[in-house]
Amino acid sequence: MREQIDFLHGERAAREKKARVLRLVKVGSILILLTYCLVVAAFFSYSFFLTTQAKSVNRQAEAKKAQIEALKDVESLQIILKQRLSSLEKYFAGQKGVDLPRLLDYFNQTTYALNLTELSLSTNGAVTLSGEAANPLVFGEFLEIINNESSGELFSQITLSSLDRKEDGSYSFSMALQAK
Amino acid sequence: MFKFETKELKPFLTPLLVVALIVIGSLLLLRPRIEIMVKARHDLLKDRRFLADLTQKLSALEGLARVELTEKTGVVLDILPPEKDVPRNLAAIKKLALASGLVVNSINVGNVGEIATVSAKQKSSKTKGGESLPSLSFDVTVTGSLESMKNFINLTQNASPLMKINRLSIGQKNIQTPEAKIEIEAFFLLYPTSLGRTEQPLVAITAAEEKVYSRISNFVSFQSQGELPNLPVGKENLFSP
Repeated sequence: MREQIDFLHGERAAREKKARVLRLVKVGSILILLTYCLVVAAFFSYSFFLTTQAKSVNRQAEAKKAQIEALKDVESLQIILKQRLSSLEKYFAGQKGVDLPRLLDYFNQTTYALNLTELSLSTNGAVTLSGEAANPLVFGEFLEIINNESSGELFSQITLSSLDRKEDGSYSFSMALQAK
Repeated sequence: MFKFETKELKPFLTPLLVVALIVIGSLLLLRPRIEIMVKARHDLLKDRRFLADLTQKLSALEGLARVELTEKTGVVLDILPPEKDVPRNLAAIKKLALASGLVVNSINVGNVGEIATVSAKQKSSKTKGGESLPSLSFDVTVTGSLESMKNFINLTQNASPLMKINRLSIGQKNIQTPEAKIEIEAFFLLYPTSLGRTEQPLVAITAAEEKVYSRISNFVSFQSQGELPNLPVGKENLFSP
């Protein structure tokens, strides 16, 4: 038998290994390129999907707008109603004025012995009162009543603005009160 | 120095080309496309939200009863007229006085200002809550009993159009029954400047506002102009006295 000695065995193996690696690199590159192409295609498809969706949404929005436009009169009524109710709500919430009929009743009951010449009531609580008292006792009695009341729930401040004695012995007075 | 032979570099040509293709493709094609796509997605989300808002608004509008809404709006427009309607306010004051048992001696209208609806920005009454309503002021002199005056005040509080008594001065002059000077503020409110753009959401009536409506719906209307004084409707010659 004739035996052969392969002196290039090592070099061939290295060459084959190198060729395998190069083939792998080539196939890998092509695979990467294909994947990249797929990704690009996916992006384009998604972009197309977005465009189609946007068109569809815009179409629907236009249709809804047209329907809303057709109900414009109802919307206007609602807006006017809302505007007015909102303003009235704030108006009523801020209305903390004094109770004028109650004050009128109070002065009607407490000034029976006096001769009132003027009574002025404001919703902000300012009250001015002027009149005449036949004698100091009557006026004193009225002052006592009103002072007792001030500690209660009607008035926060009572000021005697003037008190004059007349020739006939009667007294004219004027007062300023602040109703709560 | 390294020396490459073309034959040795040939196997690397394909990967190099692939890398170059990917880089160039990404820069020239993919990057702008991604930017456009991100923007398109953002816009689509915005458009979808807008569509959802429109759908919501449409269903809310369809849910409103037109007849009921017209009736309610009529009531609030009676309470708060959209313009300075001096004759109507005068008629209301006269009717209120009549219903209370008072005799109206005189009515002075305060500074009316411009009467054109658009420019009718008059003095407004600021409440403690901060809300202000434009108003007209009337100084009314009446004669009647104390009870009638109380009635007048009570009726005014629940009368249509909306009015408020700011001051009441009672004096006893030469007559037996007291005479009172009453400062009345009559309110109005101009129409909203914009009547609902399609894009704007529909404003809903709150529970508190519903309560206000149920309160004002019980207000008594005193604004019929049927009893206005006999005003001349014109004259034959404009320049004759």
